[in-house]
Amino acid sequence: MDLQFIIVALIIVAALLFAGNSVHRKIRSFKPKAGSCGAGCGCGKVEE
Amino acid sequence: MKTSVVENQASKRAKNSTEKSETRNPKTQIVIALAGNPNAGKTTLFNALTGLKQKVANYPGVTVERKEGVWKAGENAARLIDLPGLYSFDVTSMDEQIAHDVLTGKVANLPKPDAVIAVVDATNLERNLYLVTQILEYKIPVIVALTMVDLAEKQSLEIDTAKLSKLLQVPVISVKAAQKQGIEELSDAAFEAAHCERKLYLPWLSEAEFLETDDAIHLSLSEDAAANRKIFARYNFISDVYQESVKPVETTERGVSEKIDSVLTHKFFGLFILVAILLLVFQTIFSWAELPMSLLETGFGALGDFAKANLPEGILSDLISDGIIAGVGGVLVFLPQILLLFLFISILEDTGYMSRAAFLLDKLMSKFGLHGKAFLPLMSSFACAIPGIMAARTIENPRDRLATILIAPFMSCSARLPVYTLMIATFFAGQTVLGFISLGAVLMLAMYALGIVTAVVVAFILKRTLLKSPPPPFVMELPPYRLPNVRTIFQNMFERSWLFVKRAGTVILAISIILWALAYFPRTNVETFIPTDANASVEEIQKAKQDFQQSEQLRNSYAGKLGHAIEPIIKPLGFDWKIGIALISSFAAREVLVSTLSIIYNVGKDQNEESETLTQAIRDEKRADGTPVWTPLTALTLMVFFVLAMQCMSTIAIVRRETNSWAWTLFMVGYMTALAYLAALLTYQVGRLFLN
Repeated sequence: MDLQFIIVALIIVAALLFAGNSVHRKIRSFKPKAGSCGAGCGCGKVEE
Repeated sequence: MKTSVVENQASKRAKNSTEKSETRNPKTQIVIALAGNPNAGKTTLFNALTGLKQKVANYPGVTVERKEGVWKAGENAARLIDLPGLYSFDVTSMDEQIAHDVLTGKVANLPKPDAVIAVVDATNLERNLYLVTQILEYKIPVIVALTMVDLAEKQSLEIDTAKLSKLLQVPVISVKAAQKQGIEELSDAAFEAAHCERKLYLPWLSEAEFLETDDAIHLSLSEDAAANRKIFARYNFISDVYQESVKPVETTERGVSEKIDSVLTHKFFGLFILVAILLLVFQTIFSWAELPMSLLETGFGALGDFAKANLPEGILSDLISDGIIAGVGGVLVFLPQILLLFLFISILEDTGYMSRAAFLLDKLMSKFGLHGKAFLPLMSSFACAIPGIMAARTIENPRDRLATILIAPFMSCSARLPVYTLMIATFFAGQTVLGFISLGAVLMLAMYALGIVTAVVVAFILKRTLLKSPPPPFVMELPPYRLPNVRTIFQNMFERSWLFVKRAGTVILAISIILWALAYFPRTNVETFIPTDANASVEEIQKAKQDFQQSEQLRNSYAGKLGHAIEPIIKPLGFDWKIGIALISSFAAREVLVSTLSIIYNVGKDQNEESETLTQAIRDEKRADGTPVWTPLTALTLMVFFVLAMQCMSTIAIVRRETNSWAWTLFMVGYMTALAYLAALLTYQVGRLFLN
């Protein structure tokens, strides 16, 4: 197979992985962080 | 004056210490918190102590979430927590709640602070001391860092720090964080205090009021019927302290700030001056950025040509020149404008003028039912909607907070700037209004104004329908004017601009590569080309094949198919399928529009053809019938669409997090996109009537 094509394919896969990871991180940020109050407000208060 | 001293229970303290040691990093055993009124200089002090570069601005409420850094002083090290600016600990808003939780050790992975540095603005000593009295009730060692002493002296206030220290029974250190003065004394006092137990000295409370609930003798308005009496007791104590430690020098002259304010916050001249300042800023941005932008544009064009000429012909060379260099370079070309925009915003913030602009616009906003505190989140949204939406936490009423979150993305953020500038540079460059005002600056101001006006109207409707609640009273602090600090200005400018560069090198790069692939594949088979002229020479057939490849490649690509799919919807706006591709991709991030246009106008171009600038490519783009795709009206319509549409993945994520509701998030995306479409449709169709 053409070397150029392989390099380009790898670059495209890397870009897709990077973009996918960015989206994944965004989706993870939807969930309240560990130790937060659970209201999603990000206030950091620990649930009693 | 009544005096009470309460000894802490040693065993309780020992237990706390054991608990703390379990969660602490051995390198930074000590936790020190910075607390103080908004605009007292906490963030400047925080930066001076940690070397971190938190955003600093001369208007209240910059620190909404707590920020953390490591403070190293000689052999000592501490985790330094920068709390949000507070007037009191009465826990009515989210930022007060965060600060209260930090001081009572209720935050996960953060032990209760060993000491608190109370940052006190010397020019507003009486008001700032109220918070200090409340911090003192938390039974944590306190050190008072007195800031803005030089400004207090200019206001003819002489503060006796030794006396103040004696009256409060805590160390009081004068600091000039920007000049690093007093930092050493402060660190000595803070680290010493952090290792000691503090004897409670709360002369404003009676013995009976020393009801130790958990870790604080915190008195809240809502908790106790006698709270008012206690508040008065605090103020009486503060008044005594103030009388004894501050010597005001009699003066009949009004302060310089007041004199300037009489003009700049005038109900008529104030708004006029605000508009004039903004026009001047935009005009300067355009004229100063022109040369570096054209140099960058030429540079990226030459780089693309160099890559094409020196790399072996093929797919990799196409990706590098048409995908990466065109996509990322197309966005980076706007860096000079972004730098200048943030330079001017930083100057306006640091001089204190931004608070006056807030004051002027607050009058307008309050008439439409918007909370006065909404101004700061909206103002922050001009740089980026994300910190703006987070800043809405300072608003106590959940309905007011939600209304602010829902309208914050209307403020023209820096990601829209490349889109506005590209359109203005392509179609309106060099034109003037009234002979001397640049049309580009006027259009830019109009786009910012359109965002503000739409936000106000939407807030008005929301506050009378879905989010009904009475407008609360609001007191706004106008900080004194001061000469801008060059270091702070450049720090702000480079930090915010760095984010733009970082996005270009990461997200925009990845999207550019993906978009290039979508526009490059599947490849059009030139062998399907049948020459129409049987007598054509080999060269003529070759040329015709290249033209065929050029016109058909993008049309038949995956991106082309996407663009064609939405073309019927966007056709009434004057957009063709190529603009459609750019619109779809810009829903990931607005500035992607520029890189997408760069890529789609480059893909399929003759291999040997030199790169033309994006503005030229836009002007030259023709429909099948030979009419230009882009006109000044198309450009204006696109700008209007971009002012109002919700095109930012990150903003959607933060709105979901802050509202904890998918329904409100989708409502925001839906209504903003619908509004953008309708406004763009109206602009194009009405514009056509006038032009015809």
